[in-house]
Amino acid sequence: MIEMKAVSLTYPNGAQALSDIDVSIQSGEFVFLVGPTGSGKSSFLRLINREEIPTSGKILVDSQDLSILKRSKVPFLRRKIGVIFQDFKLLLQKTVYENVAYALEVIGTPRYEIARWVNRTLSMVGLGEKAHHFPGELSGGEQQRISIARALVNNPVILLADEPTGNLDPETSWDIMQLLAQVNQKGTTLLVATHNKNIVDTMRKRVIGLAEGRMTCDQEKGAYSLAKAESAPGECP
Amino acid sequence: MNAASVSTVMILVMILGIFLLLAMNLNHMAENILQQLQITARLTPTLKNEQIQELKKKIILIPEVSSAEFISKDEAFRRLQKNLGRSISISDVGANPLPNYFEVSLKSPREIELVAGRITKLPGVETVRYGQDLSRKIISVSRVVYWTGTVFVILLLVSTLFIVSNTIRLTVFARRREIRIMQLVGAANWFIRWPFVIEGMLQGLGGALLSIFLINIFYPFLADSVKNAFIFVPILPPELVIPRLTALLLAAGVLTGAAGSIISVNKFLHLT
Repeated sequence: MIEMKAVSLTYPNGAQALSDIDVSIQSGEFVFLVGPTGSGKSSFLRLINREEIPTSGKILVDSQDLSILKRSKVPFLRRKIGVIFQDFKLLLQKTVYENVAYALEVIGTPRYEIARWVNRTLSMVGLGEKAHHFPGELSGGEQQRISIARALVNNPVILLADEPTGNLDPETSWDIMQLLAQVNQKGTTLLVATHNKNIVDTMRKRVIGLAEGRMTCDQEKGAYSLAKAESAPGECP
Repeated sequence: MNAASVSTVMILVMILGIFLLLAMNLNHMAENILQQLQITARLTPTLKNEQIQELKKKIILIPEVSSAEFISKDEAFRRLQKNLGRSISISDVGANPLPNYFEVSLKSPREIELVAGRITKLPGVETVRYGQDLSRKIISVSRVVYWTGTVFVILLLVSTLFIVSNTIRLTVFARRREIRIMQLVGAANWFIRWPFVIEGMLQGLGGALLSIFLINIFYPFLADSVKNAFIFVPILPPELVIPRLTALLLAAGVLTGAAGSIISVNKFLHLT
């Protein structure tokens, strides 16, 4: 589903975000991306979404070569990819329902389908009752559920989560991770960039470790502690 | 809609309109003077009638020429007498000293120099005269007016573009969250762009309409008072200029408005 071959990314200001990344993620996988702040986790996700173009190397997403993808085709790539963020990125003047429906409206979905999809997705994330509230009236965990619903309403094949639990308390973080795991169970390829050692160690999914833009570790059923910067590249102790 | 931006666009479009009016009128005056210029082609005295007819055909065949009138030496003398008030007769001067000649009028007076040159080369033509100095001066002045005008118009259009694109940039910035979300969920670029483009066009349109309104009030008044004060100045009548000017200014306002907002939105879309 996602293939990176010798991918490097240098920002225009000269900062080296990623160097020489080789990775292959299959359809339906659940992958944690771990590493300290500034290790390149967000850049990794931004490459998949084609918010960044690699300085060198090649990326294939759903068999499409992103380095030769025309700018006008980028929106169609993004319709296959849902994204959620630490800060939720909700529109506070719109209701829960409207926030989720917005994602369908702006890609030209017919109105009658919008209602069906939005209601279905909202009840899936457990917000069926709160459709007509405004985000500001809800808790952090519920707000993250809205953003998950918005990312999923379009039935993406890939879901990218950038620190989805970064602003949430431990208990709520667990709820959110359970929800994401459910989504993954249904077949969506899931990439979660996180700091949360506890969650990574408990869930035992594939872990890709990053430090200073390099892959330090890639392990099935890995753990956070195993993906530290000291470990040799490519193998985990 | 932003009142500051619309009123700035209005002022710019109005300056543009005033400038165009000025240029159109100057051009009109120049044409007016040039239109009255004729080429006088003196013929060699020995030319026979058939040769004169032949020559007339050749002159008329020049594409820029609209008519060529033959004036015989007798007719020329009669005209001279008339001008001098019949105070001379042929007997006073012994023989008619005047030549036969053609009076040539032109379709495109700006080509007068070229046409005069061609007529000079025709066999049977002795000398050619036309308002050489005057036509050169008018043509060079109108060329200067044309080029300064073009530069000025471009500058005004560019300023309008900047004003609109700046305002739209602020609007885009205010809505950056929504735009970011639209990009993330895969809204097409045109979908993100069109509301801003319409807003830019409306700003241009608003500014243009206001300035057209003002010009519609002031120009007829101005044209009238110029006409009354200087009867010999050929000022363009409002009913002739204003429709054309309206179309030009509307197009200028709307198109620069659209272009200005496209510039701003594109800059933003490619940055994120």
